[in-house]
Amino acid sequence: MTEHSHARSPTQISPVWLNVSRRSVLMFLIAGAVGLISAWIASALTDGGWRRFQLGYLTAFAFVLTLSLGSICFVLLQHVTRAGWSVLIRRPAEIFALNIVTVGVLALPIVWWVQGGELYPWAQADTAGEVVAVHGELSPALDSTADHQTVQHGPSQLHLYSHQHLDELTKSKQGWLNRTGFAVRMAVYFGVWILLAVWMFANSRGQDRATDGSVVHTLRMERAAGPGIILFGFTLTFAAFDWLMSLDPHWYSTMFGVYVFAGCAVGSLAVLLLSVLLGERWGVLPHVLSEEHRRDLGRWLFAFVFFWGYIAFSQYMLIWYAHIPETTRWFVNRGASQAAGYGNSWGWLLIVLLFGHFLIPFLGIMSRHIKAHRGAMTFWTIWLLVMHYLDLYWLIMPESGPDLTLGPIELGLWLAVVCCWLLGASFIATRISLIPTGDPRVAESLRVTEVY
Amino acid sequence: MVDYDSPEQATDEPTGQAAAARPYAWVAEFTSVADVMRAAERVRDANYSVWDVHSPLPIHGINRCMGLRPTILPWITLSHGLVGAGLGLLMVWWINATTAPGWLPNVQGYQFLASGKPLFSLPANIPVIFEMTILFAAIGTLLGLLGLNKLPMLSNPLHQSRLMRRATADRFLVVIDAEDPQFDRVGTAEFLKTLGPTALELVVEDS
Repeated sequence: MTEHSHARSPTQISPVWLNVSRRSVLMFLIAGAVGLISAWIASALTDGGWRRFQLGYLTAFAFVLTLSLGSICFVLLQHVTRAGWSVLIRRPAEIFALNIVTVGVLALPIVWWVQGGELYPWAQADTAGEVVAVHGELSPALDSTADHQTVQHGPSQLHLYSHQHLDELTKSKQGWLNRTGFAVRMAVYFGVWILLAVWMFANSRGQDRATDGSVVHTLRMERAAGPGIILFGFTLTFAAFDWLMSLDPHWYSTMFGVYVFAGCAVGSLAVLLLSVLLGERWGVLPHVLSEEHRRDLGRWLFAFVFFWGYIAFSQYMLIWYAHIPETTRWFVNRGASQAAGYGNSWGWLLIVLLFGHFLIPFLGIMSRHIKAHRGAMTFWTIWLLVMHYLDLYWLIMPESGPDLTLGPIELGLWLAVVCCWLLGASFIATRISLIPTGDPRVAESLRVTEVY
Repeated sequence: MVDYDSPEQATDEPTGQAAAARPYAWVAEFTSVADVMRAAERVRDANYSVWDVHSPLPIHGINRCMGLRPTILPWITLSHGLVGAGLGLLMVWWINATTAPGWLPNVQGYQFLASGKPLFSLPANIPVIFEMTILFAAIGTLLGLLGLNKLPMLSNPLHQSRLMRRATADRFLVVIDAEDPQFDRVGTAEFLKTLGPTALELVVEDS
């Protein structure tokens, strides 16, 4: 081997402990509180502010949820494939995966709102069995569009928001979409995810502690990973249906779960690569990682940027081609229509996503030199995290009305939720070595170098 | 016969009529990955340029030891992909939307109207463009790979090398080509001996 490789011999790998200073914890707390308070104040001062507050919270929640879910999937995949290359960078993913516990706590307000009949149209109280006319007025709780009716030209847009009533169609779906079922299913989803994350985390730490070189923990993770990935696929899909798709209970797309998964993959790989890059820059991670570890992560990211584009386009094209009003309306609400009177300002966000989430980063991280370049990839991972947030924003926020909004309410909540998530992650990270020193494949991972 | 324990005696040069033939390459044999990597670094540092390493298994990092530059194959793939995308776009436009009044009837497009969409609407055409991109990129990569490796090649003097037989099983070879500007029938052999090979062989051009 080369001299460079000798310097990275397995015997020199020692545990790496993260130290989070009190000051940074305090900073997270203050930033989170500032975000929450400013969002609260802004929502009180804005028309329809409470609706935007709830939807903005759901967006921020979905953002950190997808980061943790993607990390769970990443960890499971490494064990399913018995991957050796990724051992040195698996620990940050395990930490983000276990951070699903924090996300579980952050889900509580959503359950609370649903039990109170807010946020989702199907959760509203049935108003004395009265059948609400499809073209009737919006219920006050959901009515943030009333102001815009007077200024609109062309066809009335009121019927575009008919799904926000509790009408017969929505009622027919209440066998699944009801308050109790929602809460029970949420408990099941988080139960499965926390179980998977804790199992992987505990056994990975068990590997580190095993002094006799036993591989029992490794085998345990490997055996759990296969069934775990099946469980993950089902829970992710149904959680996406429950939490994001049912905002519009009239609408359905069988591809929606895959679409959300594609976002999970892009977001979690971006945050994993970003944490590796920042860890190296701040001297937290030792320089055992070769260029190729980062490049391999970049390849994953590149692949999933394209996967996201592929899935997003497939979902759009099938609905566009079929031309069924029931399903196209969801896209019309999200600005995809150019027909006179049907366009709205969410279309700008759609353009931003098409270029910013797909075409620009696809070309931007195509080159192998870029994938290994620390500065460039720091830029692209942050870029993609922003785009991932905007992607969820585009899924959720158009339910607030036909006008694109992005203000202190949404951004403040994003800040608050992300600060909570980062606090949870640093709490977990200080309790475990950042390198899985006990993994039997750690030497294999140390030998990873580029091949061309 | 080659004596694998004594490199000095393992030097194998053609005799008789073949000795007068033009040399094609010197082949040096090594028994381990570490040995061949060390040897490759020395050959690289001696500024040889037309040479190669043969191994029965992929060696991670050998490109560094050999000082290889990255391949241009990705650019061939990219350019073919772009051409494929352009041709795909042109094709669907031609087939679906051309009217070409007054032209020969057999170059006129179908103008096939589906569910009231415009004749030329990008979303419907993306899958075709996508597939054409993949097809061209894949074919371009395959042909580029063959071209860069000068394949297919019907004959190669190295096929006559006795040492080469074990390069597909358990031996590692450094081959310095006679086309290298520094190649010298005697001098290159002396240099290769300093690398500690288990055997040396001079391969001559096919007669």
